[in-house]
Amino acid sequence: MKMNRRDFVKTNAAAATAVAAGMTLPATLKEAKAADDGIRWDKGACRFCGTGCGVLVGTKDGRVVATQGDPDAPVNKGLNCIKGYFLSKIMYGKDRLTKPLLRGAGGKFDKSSNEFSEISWDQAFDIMAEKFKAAIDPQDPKGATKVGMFGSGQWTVWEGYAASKLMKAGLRSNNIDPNARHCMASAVGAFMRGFGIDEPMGCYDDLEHADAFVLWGANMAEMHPILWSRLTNTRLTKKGSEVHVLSTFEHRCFELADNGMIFTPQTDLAILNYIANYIIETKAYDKDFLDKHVNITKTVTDIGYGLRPNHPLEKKKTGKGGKLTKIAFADYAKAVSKYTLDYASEISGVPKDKLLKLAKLYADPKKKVTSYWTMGFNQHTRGVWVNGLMYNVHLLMGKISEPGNSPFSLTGQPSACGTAREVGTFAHRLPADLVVKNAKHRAAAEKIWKIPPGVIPPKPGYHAVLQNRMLKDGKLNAYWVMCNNNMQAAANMNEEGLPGYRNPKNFIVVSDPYFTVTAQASDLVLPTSMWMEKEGAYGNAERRTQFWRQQVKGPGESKSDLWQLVEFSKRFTLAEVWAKDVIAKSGYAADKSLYEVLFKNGQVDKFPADPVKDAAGNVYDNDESADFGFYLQKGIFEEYRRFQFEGPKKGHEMAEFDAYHNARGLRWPVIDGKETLWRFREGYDPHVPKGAGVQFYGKPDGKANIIFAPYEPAAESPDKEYDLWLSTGRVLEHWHSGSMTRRVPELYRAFPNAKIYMHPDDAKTRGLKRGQEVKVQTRRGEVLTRVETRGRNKPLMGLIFMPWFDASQLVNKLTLDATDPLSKETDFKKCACRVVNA
Amino acid sequence: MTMPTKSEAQSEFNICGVFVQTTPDRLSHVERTLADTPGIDIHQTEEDGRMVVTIEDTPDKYASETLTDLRSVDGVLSASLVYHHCDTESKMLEDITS
Repeated sequence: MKMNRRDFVKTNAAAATAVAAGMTLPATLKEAKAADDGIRWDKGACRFCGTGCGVLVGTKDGRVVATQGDPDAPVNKGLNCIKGYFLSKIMYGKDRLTKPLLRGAGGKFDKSSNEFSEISWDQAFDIMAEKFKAAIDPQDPKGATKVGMFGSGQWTVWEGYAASKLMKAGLRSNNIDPNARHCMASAVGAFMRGFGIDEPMGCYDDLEHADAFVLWGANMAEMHPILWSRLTNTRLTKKGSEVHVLSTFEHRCFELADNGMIFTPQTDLAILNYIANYIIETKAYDKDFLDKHVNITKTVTDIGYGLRPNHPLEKKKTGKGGKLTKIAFADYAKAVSKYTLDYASEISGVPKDKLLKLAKLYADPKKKVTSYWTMGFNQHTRGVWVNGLMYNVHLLMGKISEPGNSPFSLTGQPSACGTAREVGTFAHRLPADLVVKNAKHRAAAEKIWKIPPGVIPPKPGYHAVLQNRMLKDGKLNAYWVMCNNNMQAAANMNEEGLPGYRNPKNFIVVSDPYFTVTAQASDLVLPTSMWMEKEGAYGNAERRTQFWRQQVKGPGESKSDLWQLVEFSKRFTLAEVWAKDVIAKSGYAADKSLYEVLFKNGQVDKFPADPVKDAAGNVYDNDESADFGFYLQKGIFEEYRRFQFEGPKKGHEMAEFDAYHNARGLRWPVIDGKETLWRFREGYDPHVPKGAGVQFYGKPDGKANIIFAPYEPAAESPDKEYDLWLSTGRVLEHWHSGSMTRRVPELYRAFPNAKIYMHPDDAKTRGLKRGQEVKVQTRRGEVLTRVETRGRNKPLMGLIFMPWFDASQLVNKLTLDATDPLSKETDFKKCACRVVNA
Repeated sequence: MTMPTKSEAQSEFNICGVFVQTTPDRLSHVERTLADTPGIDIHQTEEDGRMVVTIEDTPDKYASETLTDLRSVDGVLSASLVYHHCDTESKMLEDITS
């Protein structure tokens, strides 16, 4: 048959599409499917959002030339969203970094220079080790408080693990936090308070099992399009199905909404308490479920806004922390009784009939309800509270941990769950849900890591926002940023982030594939291999762990984050990082390197660097194994598994390493090779004993917590001077900070620059026209942008929305670094601004 | 940062496999519209409204742009990307007769 490659690819594309669509292939397409044009196909996981779609990656001549939705992947069943189009492109941006870059001319470090010069990896690690060692006093009983690391929910599982181990078990610093602090910390806090174990009880199968869906501060249509298409399908094909959408502005999900509600920022707290009140007043609650499986509690109130201690708002607060007090059901009923329909409607601005319709849905015992939320709940100065109030509603009705009845916290990053949360890269956590302040947990970690007691510091380290403050204050001096763009992403860049990075006392290292805003603000830039340039593992929002093999080589001298972490550990001897008495207890020689103690420890180096092969016999590179001489990824994963099986907390069990290279992901806990779809429910979760029905085994008494928390105002609200709410977020075209997607010409063209979405009347009263250049100002700075009064996002009067992907319009110069005092997560959704003519 | 438009960046060529859904009564209308759209080929249709199409770059439009525009075509319920191939234009035109 005569054809050129273009015709062949088209036939192939059509064949793959027909399979995903469930259509029978005509004979010509079948033929095409059998041919391969020299393309090697292997399974992988998408690099972008927390949905965790399976993709097939096509490689030819050492380059990824094609990708397709994996028809065997249960998450996306062969479909991709538009982000699948640029998966192969993000690795091939013209300005990929290929050599380490040091601030200063001629390879000589100069903090005040505006110039970067190329150096070798050896020189890079030399100066880095010098700066880190200068900041470490091995005899300090508090550990190495002057060194820190900012990591990522885009790290692979082993990268997060290696980073956490290097910092906590090696350098003795808990100052490691992931960018997931900005997106998931409130969700984690609420899981721990409510259930004693992190991550959702349900799974994506709820998308087909539920009768109704409620979106709270989640724009799934743009941010999780594949999940949205499954939800849409259920809504259109299931009789009686309904969709409720709550947001502080109208977005694309409202097109499908049966009940769309726009509420005043922060009043989600009041709406959720109203629903609880309605359920109690109408006696709709499941008394039997509550008696058997739930404790009723209340939390400390008036806890401040996580600002610097000298901020007036912090001086005013009367409460502190998150202590829970048990209360009687009658007391809880009384506490929520204030949240009447009238009050909830008045404070939120949502019409009464809409609120009532929503409350009735939750209170109907016959309707299976799945609730979804993302940053609207999490990026909230009462983020842990509001997540908890959502669980209150589901627990009151017993609508939890069963098919279709599911409170479900969605995730932004591809491995915020698998890496940041499960591996414990937070300043207070250790692998498999353990925490540094618990002596038993530290002891378990030290035993598995083969390090002496007392190495892991007991005090939680600096969290994300505190890291920037400590950099500015000169108390954190050697700092490594990996796999994120925090200068652009973190709030209040003008007053905290930038002064911190540029503080002459500090040395900032940034590892990235591209020269991001963060890299530009740093002192040393390390070129990083990404996605298919290394063997990887991600964990998605439904507890699914997925692996991929290395498909191609990284460009130039770029190296994976994993290689960088492990290689850097060779630069330290124990004497340089641990106290003399600790070394004596360890039985290790003082001149042993951290590499030998942490990685070449008889455990991580247990598996040989044999060629990596798939079932068809294709052989894949593994650059790390080739370099270190053992199968590093497997060794790390198997050591991590020991935490799951030997640690003090059950429920995080995963399958053996090799199983994940064969499966399309598995949802933990995985017991005897079998994954778990709904946790805490007998018949689905192997940890729940026969006859128990439901058991929330993360808590010692097996009961979940209802936690009463009241409405409290936001840290900053509009006033006469700054008269509008400013809410920030994403758009479909640009994921993460735009550091990858803005380098794809098509995407750049589709949504080149940020803009503000504004109500036409708000524009009119300010004399502004659509498309006009304006200044957005807050108490912290100003940004030049343009006005959009139509388009996909439609705020009511009084609020503007601005996406944060655009490095030329840094919206985080404007935002306030107010955080949830419990989760330490920033509220990027609420501050006061004004918009004036430029 | 400035980025080339399609007409300036000629070396790259994109082909997508896309699953389009419409309703049975709109099928013929959608088929006609898509058949008239540069860069789109219809490969297979089912009476229930499912369609298999490919989209390729045209001289002034990226495949991704045509794909994005599909969503606003009257009668199109969804347009989901399944397959994406990107190679240089010269490689795409190579004869691979077997």
